[in-house]
Amino acid sequence: MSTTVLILDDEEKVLSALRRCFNRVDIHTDLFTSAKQAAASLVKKDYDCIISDYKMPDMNGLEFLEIASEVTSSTPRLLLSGQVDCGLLEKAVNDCNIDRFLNKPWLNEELVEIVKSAILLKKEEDDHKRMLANACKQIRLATTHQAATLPNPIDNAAIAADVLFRPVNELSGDVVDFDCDYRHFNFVIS
Amino acid sequence: MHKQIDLRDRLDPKSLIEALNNRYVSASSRHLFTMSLGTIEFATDTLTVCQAGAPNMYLIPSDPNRPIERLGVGGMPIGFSINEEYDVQQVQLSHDDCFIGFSENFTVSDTETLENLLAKTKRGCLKQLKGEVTSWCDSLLQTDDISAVFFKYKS
Repeated sequence: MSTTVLILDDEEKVLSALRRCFNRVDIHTDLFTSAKQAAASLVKKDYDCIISDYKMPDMNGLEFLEIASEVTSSTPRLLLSGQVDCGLLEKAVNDCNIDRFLNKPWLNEELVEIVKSAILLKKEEDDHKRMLANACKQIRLATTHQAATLPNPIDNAAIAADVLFRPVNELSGDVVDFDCDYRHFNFVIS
Repeated sequence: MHKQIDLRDRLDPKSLIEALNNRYVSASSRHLFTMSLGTIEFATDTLTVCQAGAPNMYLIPSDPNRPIERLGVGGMPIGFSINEEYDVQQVQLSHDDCFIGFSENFTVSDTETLENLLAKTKRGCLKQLKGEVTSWCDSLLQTDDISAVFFKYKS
């Protein structure tokens, strides 16, 4: 499956440079000079990573990445900026939950490595979420099955019998069963 | 091939627990588990129980003058060691005698409360017994699964 990165920067030259950088490693890029168009594309398409410049005329990069996190919270978000400012960094990390902050000018190898790592991490997180969802589904099925295998109360001429079943979690490790015929009543508790 | 275990067969609790233990140990499982197995023979009014590390069971005689009897002698959990021998206990049942067996080992203090509760319960009334024990279990700070078998003998 191909990897696609959304890149937002108001400078065409920067976008071209980033496209060349990612094309060399077979990462497809969707480029935008307008935050509005980039946001519209985010709604329509799943991206593996989002990169935004900080200083732009219509909206700054943090504001755009904040919108992006509302549309697609798990997609890695990177901020590119020529101005290194402690206040900006603090806001990027603490308020906007940016995955990485990169200086302009950037080193191509470093940028590609960072994007690949961020995408890999996201894929691992997605895999874990899928596995967890699958495990929860299996537990729910097993719990239903377990409840269905509990013995029904008996009340006949020879014996009246019932069970109490209080699992501490959804699925119990206990086994409780009984059975009766005209000669015997058998039970097991484990 | 091992014979399939079917609870509808006549059970010999001791042989079955010993066979299960040997099979489980042979399967190289490092886990242990506890169990109680019991059978009532209606023709002789006999209850036979065998335990493998499981908690005590209680026989609550219908005659209020007879004390509540703790059943079971403990024994090692299943999977502890090969060729383990397990003891059985047999008791004669009378009409309306009630029984409870639990999966959970309660604390000493909880066991004391449970036994006081059983002592006060109206004899021979399974519904009331189950209701009171259930309410008591619901009041516990539960750290493990609790399962129990209740029965009242009528023959």
